[in-house]
Amino acid sequence: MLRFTTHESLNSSHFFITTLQDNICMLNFTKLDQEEMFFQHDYLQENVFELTVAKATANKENCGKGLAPTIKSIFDTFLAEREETVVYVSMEENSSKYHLVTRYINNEVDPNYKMLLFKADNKAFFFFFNEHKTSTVEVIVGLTRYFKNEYGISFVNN
Amino acid sequence: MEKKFNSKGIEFVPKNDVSEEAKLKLNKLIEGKTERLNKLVADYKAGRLVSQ
Repeated sequence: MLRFTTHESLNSSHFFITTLQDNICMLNFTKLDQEEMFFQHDYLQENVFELTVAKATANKENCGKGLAPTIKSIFDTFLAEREETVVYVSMEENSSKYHLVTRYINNEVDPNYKMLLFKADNKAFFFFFNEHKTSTVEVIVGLTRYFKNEYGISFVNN
Repeated sequence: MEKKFNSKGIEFVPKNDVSEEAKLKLNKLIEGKTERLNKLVADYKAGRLVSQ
């Protein structure tokens, strides 16, 4: 587990992880406003946080060993401690990040954890939540409506 | 064959072909994330995100 510091505000949580190479890697949970992602659904608009990760230092070395487990640990704590919270992550399908995320999902043993994945045009949109603290029905209904209304895409369970 | 998710994951796929307009909008959604991320890094470097 790498060491990290935090910055919290009403609509975001930022974690600054110091890697073994002394890089700073930022892990961000940010609530999206309507201009960024318009769900047309109050529950989702209020409770969805976008997860992003970026290296914040100019050092060209990779962030390296220990980063992925640290991110997973922070992510687990974020979801475990919050009521009515959905974490959203987007990425290209079949990218290295995609394979890393799917590996963690398939190894997940926490009984409270739930994941919805919407795939379209080689893109993957993940939504994670604690099913005992967050309404699964609200999330599924809200997201399927969002993709239908905003993109004209009707999704079905694969 | 792609490995299916465990019981914790539900995967959804489009029922029909995705329109070109929808593909453009999905691209914009991904690009928007990159822009937001770049702004966060810039905020950090400018000292606007101070660790607590």
